[in-house]
Amino acid sequence: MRNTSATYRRRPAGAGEKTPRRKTVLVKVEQKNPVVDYREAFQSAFSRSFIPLLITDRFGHCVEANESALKLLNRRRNVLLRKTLDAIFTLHGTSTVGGFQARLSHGEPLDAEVAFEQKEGKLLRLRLRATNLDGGLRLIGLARIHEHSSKDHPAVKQRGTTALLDEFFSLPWGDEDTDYHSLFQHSPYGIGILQNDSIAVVNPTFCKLLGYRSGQDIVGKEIREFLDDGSRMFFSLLQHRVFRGEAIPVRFETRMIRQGGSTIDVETSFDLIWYRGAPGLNLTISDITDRKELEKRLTDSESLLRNVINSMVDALVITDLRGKVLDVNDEFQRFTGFTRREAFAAEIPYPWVPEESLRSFMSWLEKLREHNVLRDFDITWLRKSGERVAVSLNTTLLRNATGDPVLMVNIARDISERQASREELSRQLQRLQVLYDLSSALTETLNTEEIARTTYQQIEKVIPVDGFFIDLYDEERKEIKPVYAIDIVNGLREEIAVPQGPHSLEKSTSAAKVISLRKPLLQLRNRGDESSTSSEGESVAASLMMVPMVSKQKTIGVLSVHSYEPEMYSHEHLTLLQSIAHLAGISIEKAQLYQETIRKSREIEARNKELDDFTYVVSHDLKEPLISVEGYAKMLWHEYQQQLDEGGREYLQAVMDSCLHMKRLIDDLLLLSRISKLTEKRTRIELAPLITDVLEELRFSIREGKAEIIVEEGLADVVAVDTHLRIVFRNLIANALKFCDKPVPRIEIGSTVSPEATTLFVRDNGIGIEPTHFDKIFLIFQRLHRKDEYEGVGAGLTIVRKIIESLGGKIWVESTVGQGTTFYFTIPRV
Amino acid sequence: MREPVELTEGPLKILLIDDNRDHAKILQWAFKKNGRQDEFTYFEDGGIALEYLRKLTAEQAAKPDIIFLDLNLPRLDGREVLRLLKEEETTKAIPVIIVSSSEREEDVRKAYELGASSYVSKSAILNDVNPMFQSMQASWSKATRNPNKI
Repeated sequence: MRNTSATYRRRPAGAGEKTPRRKTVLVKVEQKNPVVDYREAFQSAFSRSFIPLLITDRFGHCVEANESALKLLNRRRNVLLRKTLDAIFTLHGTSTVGGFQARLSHGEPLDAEVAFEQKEGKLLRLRLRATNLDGGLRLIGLARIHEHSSKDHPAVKQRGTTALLDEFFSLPWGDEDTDYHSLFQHSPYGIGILQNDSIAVVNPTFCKLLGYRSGQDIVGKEIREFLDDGSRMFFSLLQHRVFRGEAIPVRFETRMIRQGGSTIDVETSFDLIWYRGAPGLNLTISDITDRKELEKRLTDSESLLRNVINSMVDALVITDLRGKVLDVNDEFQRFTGFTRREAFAAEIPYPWVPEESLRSFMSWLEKLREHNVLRDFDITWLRKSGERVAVSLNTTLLRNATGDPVLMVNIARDISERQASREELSRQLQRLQVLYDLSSALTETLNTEEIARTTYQQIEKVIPVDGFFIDLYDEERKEIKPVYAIDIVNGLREEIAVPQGPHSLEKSTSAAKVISLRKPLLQLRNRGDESSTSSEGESVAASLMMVPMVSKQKTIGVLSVHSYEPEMYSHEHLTLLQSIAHLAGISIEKAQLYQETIRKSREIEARNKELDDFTYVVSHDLKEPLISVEGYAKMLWHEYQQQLDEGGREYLQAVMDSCLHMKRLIDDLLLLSRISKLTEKRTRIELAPLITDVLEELRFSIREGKAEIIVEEGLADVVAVDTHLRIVFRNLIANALKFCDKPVPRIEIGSTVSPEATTLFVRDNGIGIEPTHFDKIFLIFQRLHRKDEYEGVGAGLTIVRKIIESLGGKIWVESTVGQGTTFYFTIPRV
Repeated sequence: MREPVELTEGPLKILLIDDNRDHAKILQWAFKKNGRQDEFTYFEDGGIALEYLRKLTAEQAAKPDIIFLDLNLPRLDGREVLRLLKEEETTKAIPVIIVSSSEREEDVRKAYELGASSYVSKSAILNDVNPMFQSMQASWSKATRNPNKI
């Protein structure tokens, strides 16, 4: 604003002397005060006026424009200068440029509506008033019609632009003194002229600002009386410098003392002017209390904001739209190690964004154009120390009042801990997964080597392994037997299947300690310890874990893993390995038991077969001589009966009876020996017709004993060997008939069906069996009664049981002596 | 013992091979006792019996009408004797009835597979010889009616 005076100085040389000195006080408007060198003062007032003003010379050329006018017209001064008003404005309603200029040049006051073409081609409608100044100059005042701008001075807003203009032009213009007075009196700024540190003249605004009603209270007093202590020194310093012709700040702040002692902050500017033939200072002050207040609040809120920003636990980076860093907070400095100074003005790529993250960071910023806020972008940052840290980035685009983006605010949260715990969690999950996979994989195999291989495959996923060994321990023989080994051989992982045979456990070895103490071993060679062999000369891995495999409180072996890298294993690894070894141990134990069971059942099967074969051979061999004995007895009976007396015939009959008995025994034995061989001949059998057949076979005994037979209806089908099942029912029914003391033997046959098996029963009302004999009755050739009481060889129930068991079923008996017996037997449903 | 079944054919020439002399004796007694007049030629040893048959062929003498063969023979087993009999052109037409103390299914099946005409249990013969006669007659008449299709 002030530089206008530098470009426009109309003071002709010696002008000061032209005007006669008048001793008046320039406070009263009504007084005509001869002001010497008023142009200086005018200039000052003109340039500061908030009314847009232009001055044209007598030729109509624009010679001056104040700041308000430049702002309103949005033109640089140079563009306006030397132009006629016709060139600048269009008179509203006339297209004739000349007319406007002509009217102006007539010197008559002008009040017209004009249009001004703005840069964008838009027409700005203006009220234009012109009045003559002294010396053929014309003062042009402008006012916007209808429109208000937020940039307008508060007074303009308050009173309206045109009203203000009218008021301004209603002042008496056209005389040197009055022109100045008008401007001087009207100025919203406080204007005072100082001479010799005393106040020579002030305008009403000046008085008002200092709390006085009239200039009389002020004029003649020293300016220092009105200056606050803090401002006084600076003020006088500047004052002197101005007089010495030195450069001073265009504007500075001064705190002045108002009437009553209160203070007011004002913006002050100096002009050196010539007043009443002597140099003076044109002092302009304007109230900046509001501004100061605002500034203070701004400072307060800024410091509040700064405090907030700095107390944030997250790192903050504020950048402009191109990514140039404008500010960072304390946490940023602490977190990244970059100082505010280092970060300031940094541009992409930032030193804290590592190369590998740059691309994703850029695409992140790319997205910001579409969104105001981007959330939770996980990225790696690089600390100044070179350490990488995981951060989660939240970026906000700040917009100004008109909605244009102006700033980017990046908030970075340290998520390395979260990341670490997430990694830890996923590690734990992986371990759990491995244990789960292992346990489910192990259920699928009963082969020791397969178990070892599966175990290795799972371990490899979670523990770094260069070597893996499973050795089984035979407690009885104190022997250790390697069953599986994997080792790095020439850099390749090789499976060494069953490397050596069993060897006795030497007390000194690590394995012996692990087995005897049943405690895991974690052996880590320190980094830098280069010896790769132990004192015994065996190769020693840099990191070694050995854990016992325990099952049912018994150490069944040792699982070892090693790495050639030092310090590879932690206690966490050891714990995991123990869990794995536990699973593997149980599986191996199970596999061994299974193999043992298989071996035993094969053995039993072989023994049974042997026994059956033996039984068969013996019975068969017994049969041959029996045939001879029976044959000869028969020959004797038929050929020599007459030669024998009664006693001889009786003896011979006994021989033949014994032969018959023995034949039955042998037949039963032969049958027994062959039952298990015939189980393959199973078929589905309808029980009802089968039982009918059996009852038919036994019809004589049934009829003879007057027995009552009740066969349940709807008997289930069973899968069995037909001939065998007949034997079962024949034996059970025959027994029921045989061991009965009731007048009417009563036999019930029935079945119950469960999903697994069909249970059949044969119930009688016979003599019953003592519970102590429940087992004995099934033993071969065991009789509970004398042979002459109940006939039979005593193999029937043995055969029945063998048949039932060969079908996979079982047989048992329930009985009450004197009341009856029930035989139950099951036949599995296939 | 029941009454003997009436046989339409007269006495047959029977070759009996059984290592158990007692059994051979009892069998022949049972035949005689039941009114049969058959002519028995008895061998303890299967190999010797085969030799005898070859000799008969060489001399073009009359062959046996039927052969009774035990299965459990020392040296040359009864099954082997049966196989050889059925291989030999000159003897394969002669019906062979297995007379064994074994009632094992495998033995029975094997015998029929090898070409036996019938299979009887020694124990059964002691009880009742008639079934034996019946199967003997059936085998023999079948063989004579259709000598090449045994």
